[in-house]
Amino acid sequence: MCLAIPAKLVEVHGNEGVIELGGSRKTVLLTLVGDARVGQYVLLHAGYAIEVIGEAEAHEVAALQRTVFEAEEENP
Amino acid sequence: MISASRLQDVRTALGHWAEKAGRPLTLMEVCGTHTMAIYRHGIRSFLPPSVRLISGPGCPVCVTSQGQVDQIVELSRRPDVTIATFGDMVRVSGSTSSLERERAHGADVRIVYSPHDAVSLAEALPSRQVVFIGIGFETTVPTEAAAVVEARQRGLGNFTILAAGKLVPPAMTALLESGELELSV
Repeated sequence: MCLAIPAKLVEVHGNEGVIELGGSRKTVLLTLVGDARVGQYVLLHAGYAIEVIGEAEAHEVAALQRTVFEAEEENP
Repeated sequence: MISASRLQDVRTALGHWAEKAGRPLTLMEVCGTHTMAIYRHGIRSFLPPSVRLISGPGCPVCVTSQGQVDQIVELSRRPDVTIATFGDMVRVSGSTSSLERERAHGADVRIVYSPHDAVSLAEALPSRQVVFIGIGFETTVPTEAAAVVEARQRGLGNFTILAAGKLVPPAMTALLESGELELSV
C-alpha cells in the first residue's frame, strides 16, 4: 500500500498516460501531475502518477527497490 | 536463500557502523509488518549485540482503530453497500468481525488496486452504493481526492469514500518530543 515506484512516461493522452517499467507498459492516471510530459519520470502509487521526479532520483530509487526485491526473492 | 557469507558481511557492516557511531545502533521500523517479518525470519538473533531494533509508529492499516474497523464492518453489512478496499484491510479484525468474515457471510467486498478502480466499480454497479475505504498515508490521500473529482465528472451519485487518512508528521513529532529519541545524523 505504502510503496510508490518510479517509471518513465512514454505516452500522454489527456488525463491518461502510459509508463514503461521493466519492459512492460501500463496505463496510469495523470490527474495529479497535469504538467507531466513524455520522457519524464513519475512516481506511481495506486494507479496514479503522484509526482514528477528527476531522472537521477528515479534511477536511484529504482536501484534501491531492486536491492530490496532481490533480497526478498532470495529469502522468501 | 541469502548465502551465509553475505549474512556475515551484513553483520560485520552493522557492527562496524555501531562502532563508528561510538554507541549502540538503534533502528526503528515504521510498520508492524516489518516487526513480524523480523521475528519470523529470526533476524533479531542474527544481529550483533550493538544493534537494537525497536518498533515504530505503525502503518496506516495497523494504526486504524478498532472502532473504525467496526464501522467498516458495519457498513459492509448494509444490503445496498459494496465495499471497495485495498487488499491489506480485508483481514484486519475489529472487536467482532473482519471484512473477510463478512464476505464469507455474503457481504459484497471487492479488492481494488486504486481509488480509480473503485470509481469504475461504482459506474458499473449503478444500483449499489460503493464505499471506498480510504486508509493510507499522504501518498494515498491525493489519489482519493482525484477519485472524488472523477466520480463527479462521471456524474456518479453512488460513490462514497470513508475518509480515514493518516498523517506521518504527528507521529514523528510525538517521537521527537518523547525525549527518548537518540537521533543519528
